[in-house]
Amino acid sequence: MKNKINKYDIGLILIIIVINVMILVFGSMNTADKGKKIAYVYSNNQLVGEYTLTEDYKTEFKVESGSGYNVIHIEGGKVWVQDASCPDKVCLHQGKISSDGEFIACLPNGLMITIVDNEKNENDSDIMTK
Amino acid sequence: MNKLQKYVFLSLLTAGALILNIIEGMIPLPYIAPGAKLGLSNIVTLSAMVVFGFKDALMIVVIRCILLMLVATNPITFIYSIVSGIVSTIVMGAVLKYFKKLSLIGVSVLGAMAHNASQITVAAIIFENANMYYYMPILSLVSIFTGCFVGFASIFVTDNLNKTLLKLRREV
Repeated sequence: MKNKINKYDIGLILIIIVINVMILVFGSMNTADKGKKIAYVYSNNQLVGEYTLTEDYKTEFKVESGSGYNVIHIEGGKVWVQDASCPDKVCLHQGKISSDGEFIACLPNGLMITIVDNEKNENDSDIMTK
Repeated sequence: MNKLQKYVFLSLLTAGALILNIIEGMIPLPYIAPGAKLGLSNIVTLSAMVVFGFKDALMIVVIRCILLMLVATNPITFIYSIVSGIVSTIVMGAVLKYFKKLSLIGVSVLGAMAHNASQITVAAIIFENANMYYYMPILSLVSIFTGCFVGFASIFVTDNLNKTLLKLRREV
C-alpha cells in the first residue's frame, strides 16, 4: 500500500535537493558588483521612477496604485520597502536589494522594483526592450 | 454509498480545505522566500484524490479557490491560487496514476513543486519579468519540507476517511 515512505520517495527528494543546490551554487557565482546601478520602479507594469544608486543618494517616496500604497526607501546604494498597505507584508520581508538582477515585488499592489547594472548589460540589448 | 452521501462528504472536505487555507494565513512562519507557505489545503486535495478520484479532487480545488476569494482574499490572489491549484492537482493526479511506486509523500512533494512553478509562472506573466524564476530553487527546497508534512498528514487522513466510509457502507 501507499502508506509509508519508501526508497523511491527518498530518491526523488535527494534528486530534487541536489539539482536545486547546484542551481543555487552556480547562480550565486556570477553576481559580482560593478558599474552603475539603476533601480527601476514599476507600478502595474508602468515605469514610474528611475533612480541611480550611489552611496550618498537618499530618498523616500510613496507609490500609490488602485488597491493600496508602498513606501520605498533608497539609501546607501540599497533599496527597500519601508511600509505597505498589503496585509501580508511580503514586500517588506524581501529586505534590502542592491545588486544586479535583484528585485522586490508586491503582488497585491502590482509594484515591482528591479535593479539593473548598466555596465553588465551594455551588450545585452534585450533586457532594455521592455 | 449513494450520490447524496458522496456530495455531503465532498462539501465537508471543501469546507475543511477552506478553513485550513484561512488558518494557514494566521500561522506565523519564518520568512524564507516570498510565497513560501505550508499548503495545508493540499492535504484535503490529496486525500480526496485517493479516496474519491481525480475529478472530485479537481472540483474541490476549484470551489475552494472561488470560496477563498469571496471570504478572505481578492481577485488578484484568486488568479494565482486557481492556476496553481489546478496545475498541481493535475500533476498529482498524473503522478498518482502513472508512478505507482511513489508513496503519497513523493506525490505531494511533486504537487508542491508544481504549485510553486505555476505560481512563479503566473507572477512572471503578470509582471512581464522572467527574474521571478530566481526564487524557483529556494522554493523547491522549501516545498520538499512542506510536501513531506502534507504527505504524512494525508496518509493519516486517507486511512481514517477510508475507515469512516467503510463503516458508512456497512450501515447503509
